[in-house]
Amino acid sequence: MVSAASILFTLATGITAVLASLENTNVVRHIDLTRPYLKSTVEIDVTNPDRSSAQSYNYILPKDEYETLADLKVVDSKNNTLDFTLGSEIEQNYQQLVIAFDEPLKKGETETLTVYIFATKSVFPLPEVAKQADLQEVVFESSKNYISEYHTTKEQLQILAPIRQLTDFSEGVSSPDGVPLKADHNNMIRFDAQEDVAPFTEKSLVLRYNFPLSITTVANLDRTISMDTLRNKLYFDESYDLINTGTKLDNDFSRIDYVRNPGAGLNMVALRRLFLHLPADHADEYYVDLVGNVSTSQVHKTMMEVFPRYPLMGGWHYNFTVGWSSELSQYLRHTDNNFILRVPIILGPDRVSITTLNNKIVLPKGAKNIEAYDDMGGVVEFENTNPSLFDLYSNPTVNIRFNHIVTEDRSRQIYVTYQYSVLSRFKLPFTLVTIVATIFYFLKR
Amino acid sequence: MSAETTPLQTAVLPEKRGTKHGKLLRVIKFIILSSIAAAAVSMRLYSVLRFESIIHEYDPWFNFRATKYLSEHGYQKFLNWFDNRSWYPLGRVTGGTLFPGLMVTSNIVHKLLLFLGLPVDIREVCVLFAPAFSGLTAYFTYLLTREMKDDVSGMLAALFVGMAPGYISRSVAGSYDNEAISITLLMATFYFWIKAVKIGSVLYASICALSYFYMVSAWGGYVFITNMIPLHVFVLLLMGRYHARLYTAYCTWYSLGTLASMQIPFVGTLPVKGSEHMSALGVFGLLQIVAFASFLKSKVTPKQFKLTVITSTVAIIALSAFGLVALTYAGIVLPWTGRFYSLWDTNYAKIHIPIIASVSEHQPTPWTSFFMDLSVLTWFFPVGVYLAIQELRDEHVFLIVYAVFASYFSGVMVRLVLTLTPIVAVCSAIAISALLDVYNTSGSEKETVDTNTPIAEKSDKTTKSKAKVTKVNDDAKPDQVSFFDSLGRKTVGSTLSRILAVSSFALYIIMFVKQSDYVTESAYSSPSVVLSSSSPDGQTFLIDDFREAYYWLRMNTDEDAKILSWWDYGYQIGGMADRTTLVDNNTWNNTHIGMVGRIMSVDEDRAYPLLLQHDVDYILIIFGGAINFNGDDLNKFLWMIRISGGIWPEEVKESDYYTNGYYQVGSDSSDAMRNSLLHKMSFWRFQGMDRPRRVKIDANTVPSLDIVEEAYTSANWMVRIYRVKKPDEFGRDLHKATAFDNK
Repeated sequence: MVSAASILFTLATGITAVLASLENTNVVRHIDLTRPYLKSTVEIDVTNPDRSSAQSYNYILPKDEYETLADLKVVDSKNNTLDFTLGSEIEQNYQQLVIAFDEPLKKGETETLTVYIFATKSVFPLPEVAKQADLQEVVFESSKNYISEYHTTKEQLQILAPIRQLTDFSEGVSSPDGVPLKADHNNMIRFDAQEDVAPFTEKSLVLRYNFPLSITTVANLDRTISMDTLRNKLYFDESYDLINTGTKLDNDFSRIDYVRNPGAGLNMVALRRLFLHLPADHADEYYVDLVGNVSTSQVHKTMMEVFPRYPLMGGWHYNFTVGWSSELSQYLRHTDNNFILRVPIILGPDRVSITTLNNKIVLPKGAKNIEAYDDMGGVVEFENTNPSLFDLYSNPTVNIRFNHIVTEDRSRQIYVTYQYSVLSRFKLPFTLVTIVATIFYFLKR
Repeated sequence: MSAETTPLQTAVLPEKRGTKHGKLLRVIKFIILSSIAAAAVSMRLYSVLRFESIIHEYDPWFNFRATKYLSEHGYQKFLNWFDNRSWYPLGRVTGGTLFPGLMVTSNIVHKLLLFLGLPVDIREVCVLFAPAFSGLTAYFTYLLTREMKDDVSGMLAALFVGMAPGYISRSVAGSYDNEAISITLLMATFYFWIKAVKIGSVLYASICALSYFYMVSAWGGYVFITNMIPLHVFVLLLMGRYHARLYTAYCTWYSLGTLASMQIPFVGTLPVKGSEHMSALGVFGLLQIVAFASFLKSKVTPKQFKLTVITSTVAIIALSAFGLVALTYAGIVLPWTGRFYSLWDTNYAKIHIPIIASVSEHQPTPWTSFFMDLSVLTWFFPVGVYLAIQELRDEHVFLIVYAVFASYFSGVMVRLVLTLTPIVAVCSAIAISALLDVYNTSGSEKETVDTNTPIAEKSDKTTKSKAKVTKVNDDAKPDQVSFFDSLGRKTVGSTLSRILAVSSFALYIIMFVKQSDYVTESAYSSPSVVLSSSSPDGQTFLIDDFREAYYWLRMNTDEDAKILSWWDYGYQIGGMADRTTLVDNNTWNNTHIGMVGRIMSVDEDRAYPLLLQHDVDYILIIFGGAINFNGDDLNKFLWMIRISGGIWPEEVKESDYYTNGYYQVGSDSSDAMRNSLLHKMSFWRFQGMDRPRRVKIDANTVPSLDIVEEAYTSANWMVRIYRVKKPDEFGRDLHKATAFDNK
């Protein structure tokens, strides 16, 4: 399984000409707008009308979507996850992804690919600033048709809307007030099917609608995961930097209005609380910020409910730190001196997009031959943290950084392998005992 | 007790020194003292248990901020720190206007812990600083009291000072203030002073000077020592107790201590210029004369001597008094400060400097607070003083002088109960140990030894039950015949009466500990940043509005935003919101504070140009109307009016704000009150009962608010933040512009 960010820079130019002969016989695009980020699923029936068999399929991603891409997964009809590599950049507008078929697609054969895409910053509020009584209106822009470098025989677009009433501004100046769109009772909008679409056709789609949820973005999340081999504990510490990136509140905040009409206007989309996922075994939870403990939190079974000090109206910031400890044995396996630590890349709140995520894993002193892997292609760095607790030397540390993450799939993991001898394990208590014993031996003299 | 014995030796019964028994006693004593220290420390941790590890109140927030600055920038930069984030636009020469002792000490502790590899946050060091030092205070009080009487009284004093609510109130975890360290240093300085006077040691006198220097670096209250020690010497001289020991001790202390104290930038040349320091200088001079006179006395005849003494005394006193007045007049010696005057005339501040009177801790002490802060010690204290008068060695004179002065001052200002507490502890300990001497002496030496052993075993596990502990050391000395020693000989025969007396006093002490525990937990452990409240169903919950609002400021305003608030909240805004303030708790500039009061007191049209002049971006006010919080800005409004009225009497007249002679808010209040910016901002958009003042507020109370707009109001309405509107871009006045916007 290789994801978007870990894409190897291979040159796919040589095979482009050959692949150009594939055809999209049927495409169904499904865009989910109920999240504050983009979730889109594209089902593509690919046929090879050509003589030679095709090895791969070129998928085209608009540049802005590529830059904020959080996750991308391709599954074929047998439900196998397909690998893909980064192709060339086309006219600075598109990014090509080369998806390798499991088996070459022979002449006349058809294969169904399903592409799952998550991208952050998919909607922006318009107007940017509004009064407290106004609704949060956002704009979503995309292409009305499937952009491909192949000929598309038939395609269809479905949009799952958060509310029933939307306005379509796709026509631009020709209909400046927009065309009202009404979703069906499942909140689904089905656009008319299009037939025989030429390669690289792009028709703009501009939707404006009231988004009734708060658009919460974590600008930065620093996770520190440190272990205590003597106490058999793994400590998690997560520092969030939150922004409500929805419609900004005009200067005047009326508390009385906020209390009396919690469901009206921008009050509705203020972030009041967050549910943070916790692992099944957790203890010693805390919730603090820069000025001390925040008393408003509750721990449920696998959730921590935190209330920010103040409701986050549009444009407001808040930062906080939560932490807990877990049994180390849940995360650490070993054979002899070889250890492997497996921790989830992200727990955190649901349906939040994270701009940068830094996982810092502090390993025990004396760990050697450290290597780190992950499912999302993070940038790995090694460093040493400052000595602490009577230490004479420091803990080796692994930093793994990710950009643009959505909290959708919590199965993604980080793996850190290292070697750690029994001697290093008991070095600290042994040294302490020796020092104390020595001091008192000479004192007695 | 002979003066020549060192502390270590006096700690052991002389006849048992070196024996197994003596060793055991030392161990027990060590255990007792460390238990007392541990109890004193742990009692002060209620605030952490009930709330959290947080800096308390107002001034500690500045100290904390300064400590962080010191830890980040180093000592040199700290001394030259010009803080442009307070007293906007004036700024504050912080390095030169603070006592750095506290910050430097906690930084050293922090560095030491880091050096040991303990990654402790500087905040934790600051929060736990006061409790840790209270443990040390207990030890120094033990040493001091032991010099006065004996070990038993020392340990009792350690217990009393460690547990007295009067001291706990200033040293719970989180109250990171100068007092936290200074009481320790006060006791240390006095201990070394007594030591120096007793044996005339230059060594002890210089340690005393060193400790005095430390005290000067830590607290403005060092003036208390500066006057206490000369006063002691002066009284001794009046009593005709001049001795070479006294001369050595005082001259060493004065010269070294004065030179050392002048190294603190904030103190500078005050020790030779300030009126508060003149008594020390005068006594220094007097001591030279007395020394010279006693030299003369040995050379000339008594008749000649008498004549010389009388004429020269009159001449010198007249000359020095004239000199002092002349120097003061010429401006070389600085006149007394307002705070000093208010020590003698409690009405002085109210009339002349309302800002001093507006501080609640500068109010005269209500008599109930003596009982609250000293509990049962209030009764033991005079007994101890009486016993000290009976004994009346040089050090007891000190005790008496200290007791008299501290009693007076503590009645004048609430905060000075703090300086009274140690002496109350010492005197009470002397009283109780004297009582135990009488009622708990078994007479013969052999019996004493027998009763010790089982009790010693018990006291291993007990920490507080002093009654048992005190039995360990009935330090009777057969050789000496001083008053204290004679007490041990007047044993009471009847076992019953002895048991009754000892057990009842044991009970009092236990009650004292329980009372202190209760007072500490209920009254002194609140951080005042976080308030605890209980809902109708009895559940307690925290009201965290201050931090909510400060954090909002910190996260959602421009980093350079200037916040206007009443000076009480200046340090907290600086510490928690990290924003620039106009005035803060370092009330050095009365005019600037008056300006803030003026802005709050005048109407919108007059306030707006002032707000623009001062670049104010946000106004923060405290409003307790919704949750019945009495310490809000409307209740402090009179002080704002008085302070600004003192500077701009034409613009702000106190009488204008009264309604028929009463302080009244709401729709029925006077025009000046109703139109004042503070009144408008407090009640803007508020409807319902203003609970602290019991006035019904409706939408008509504040029909419009045009120059500022609500930026944030905390969950319980306690903190309201207003944004000052920028001048209208179309040049309309803000009333019209707002009216237009609201259409």
